[in-house]
This record gives sequence, structure tokens and C-alpha cells, in this order.
Amino acid sequence: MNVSSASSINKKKKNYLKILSGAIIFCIFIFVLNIFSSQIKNYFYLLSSPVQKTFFTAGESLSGILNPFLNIYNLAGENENLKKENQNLLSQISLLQATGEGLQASFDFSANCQDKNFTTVMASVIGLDGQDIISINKGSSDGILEGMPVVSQQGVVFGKIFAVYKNFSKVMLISNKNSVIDVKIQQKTADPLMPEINGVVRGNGGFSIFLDLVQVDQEIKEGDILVTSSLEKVFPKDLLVGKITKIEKNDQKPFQQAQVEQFFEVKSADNLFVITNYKQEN
Amino acid sequence: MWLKPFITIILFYFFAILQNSFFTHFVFSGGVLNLIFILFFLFVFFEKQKSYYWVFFYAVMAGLFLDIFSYASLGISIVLLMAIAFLVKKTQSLLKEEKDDFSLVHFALLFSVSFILYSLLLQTCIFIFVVPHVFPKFSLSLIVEIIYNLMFAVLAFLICKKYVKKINERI
Repeated sequence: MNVSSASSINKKKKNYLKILSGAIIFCIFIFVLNIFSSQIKNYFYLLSSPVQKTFFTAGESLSGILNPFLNIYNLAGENENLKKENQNLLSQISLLQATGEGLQASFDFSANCQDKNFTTVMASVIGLDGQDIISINKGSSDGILEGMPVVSQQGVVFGKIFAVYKNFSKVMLISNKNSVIDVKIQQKTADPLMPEINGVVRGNGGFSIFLDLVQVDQEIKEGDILVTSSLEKVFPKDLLVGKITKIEKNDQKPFQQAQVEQFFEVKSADNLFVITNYKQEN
Repeated sequence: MWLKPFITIILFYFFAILQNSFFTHFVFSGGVLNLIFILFFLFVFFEKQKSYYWVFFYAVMAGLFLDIFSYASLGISIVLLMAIAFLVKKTQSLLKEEKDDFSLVHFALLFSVSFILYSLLLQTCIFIFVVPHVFPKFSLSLIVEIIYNLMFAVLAFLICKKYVKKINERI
């Protein structure tokens, strides 16, 4: 073996050693990061929270100004839809007045809370993750735990607490692909003798949801309202979820699906409510 | 000596805050703007060949901020971005044209492929390590997201290219 080939082998060995030691140090770094993951995330939240809130409000104002221009082509169609919806609502009002079930259709969340003795914590949205996850400014120091339901003032379901840090939390929206909630369908022409129709609402990503697992023989219509059924004991019952916009029925499948227009609106959600004692109540 | 890493960290942090607050109101058909990824890709693309320490630094900083402001475990994005950065540098060295070091076509192509890779791999990692529920797949919202991000990336690329050219002319 000559001298040059021996030195090149030594060089290669040194390089491998360098790469190996670098990889080991890197793995230790990642491991240490994950031990203090919660503290690191909370520290960055505390540090950036005031700036983040300012930018969030600025973005909200700017999108409010720009949205009418961006949606100008949809205005005619939207107007037509609103007219139809108005007519439907008028017919529903008259129906409810006639049957005397107006109180049942009331979803005033504050009244609901008083009735059911729910304790809530008010929180503000401070950010959004690309995967249908939002951050709120309340955390474990405010009594928030994983799995607690998050709703709006009007009783619209947003999602549930997914991760809790000391001063903030992450909420998995019902539109997240990993979200599945049990719902019941409130039909426009509600017949008290008809059996309750149940299904599940799955997240589709990108702030969209769809209805699934409704039996083929059960009749659902466009415009029917979906509310929580509380079967899975995560959300209280009768909270608003969305409205059926298009039914997708296939005789070869045992269940029918439907496209759903979700009621939650992240952009206009200033304050949300975390129900802190629902599980204990049930 | 410390100015470049300091400015890089500040930029990544500022872009992370912007991305998670201001731009959350500008989501189109599920497409979200990933400013940190755009900045990271620009840094890597315009970095000299074989400056592996810098490429490593950009991947660590961008990945760290992406993970901090998301629900993924810390380290997932760092590893993914490191792999992507080295792939980009390797591909760049193969694609290098004599007349133009930084071609727009190359940039757009590499950016799109890297973005798809990162999104799908991140979703897979989240599926494996965080929420094992729905397996990731190529969706319409991902296509919208690529186009949305590409628009901003190309704009930033054109600005950066002018700046890099000026520096090169001076040298």
C-alpha cells in the first residue's frame, strides 16, 4: 500500500467520523428540544403575543376592506342565494310558530349555558396553523384542558382543544382532516313522529366539512341544519355545525354523504368560548 | 461575522409572526401562505454551492420556527428542510447553466417540487408521530397552496435576483 492511498483512506475515515459525530450531536439537540418543547413554545408565544395580536387585527381590517373587491364576481350569485335563504327562513319561522316549537330551535348560547350550568372561558384567536388549527390566548393557567369544546357566542361549534400550553392553546377545528363529530340532522319540515337522523361530520381540510354515515334510506334535504348530537360526549348537544348544500347519494354505497357549508368563520371570530366543565357535567 | 446569522434569525422570526397572524386572513380555498418556507428556499437557492454550513443553519432556523408555531413535534420540519436543502443544492449543481446561474424556470420548478415534498412529508410525519387518523394525500387545497406560494416566491425571487446581480457586478 503506498502513502497516498493510505492518507486518502485516513481522510475518508475522518470525514465519516465527522458526519457521524455531527449526526449524533444533531439527534441529541432534537431530543433536548422535545424535552422542553412545551416551555419553548410557550416562551415564544409570550414573547410574540403582543406583536402577533397587532398583526392579526391589521390583517382582519385589511381583509375586510379587500374581500368585497375579491368577491365582486360572486355577489350576484350570493344575492340570489340570500333571497332564497330568506324565503326558506320565513317559511321556517311560520312553521315553528305554528307548531309552537320555537323555543327548541333557539340556539342562544348564553341561555344554553345558563340552562346547563356550563362554565366557559372567553378566549381570543391569535393565529392560525395551515392544518386547520387555531391558537387562542388561554392555556392551562386558565383551567383549560385537552379535549374541551370550543364554541362561538352564537353556539356555533369551532372545534376542541388539541394541545395546551401554560398561556395559550391550540384548537383543532372541525374542518381538520382528523376531526370527526357526531351530528343529528334538523330537517326543515320537522315531523315529531319521524325518527331522528344521525350522521357524522368529517373535516375535509381547508376550512371545509362534509356529512357522512347517513343511511341511504333516510331522507335528507339541501338546506337541512346539522347540530351536535353529543353521542361522543365531547360537544354538548344542539350546537350549530353547518347546513347541507349538496347531497351525494350512491345506491352502491351503504351510506350517503353530503357537502356541508360550515357555520364557523375563523376570520370574523373575535371571541370564542371554551366550555370547561362539560365532561364533568355528563 | 455575527451580522448575517443575526439578521437571518430576526427575518425568520418576523416572517413566522406575519405568517401566523396577518396572513391567516388571506386563505384562499384552503391554501395558506408559508412565508418561512419561501424565505428558507430563497436563502438556500441563492447560497453558494458547497456552503453546507449555511444551508444547515437555514434549515435549522426555518424548521425551528415552523415547528414552534405549529402543533408538530419540534424537529420534524428541521429534518425535512435539511433533506430538501441538500437535494436542492445537489440538483442546482446539476442544472447549472453557463449564462444564468439563477434561472427563473429552475427556481419555479425546484420550489414547486420542494413545496410538495415538504407538505406531503410533514403530513406523513404528523400522521405517524402526532395524530394517526387520516393518511395524507394530494388534494385540491395543496394545488391551490402551491400556486399561491409560488406567486409570492417568484416575486421575491425577481427582487433577490436583482440584488444578487448588483452584488456580483460590484465584485
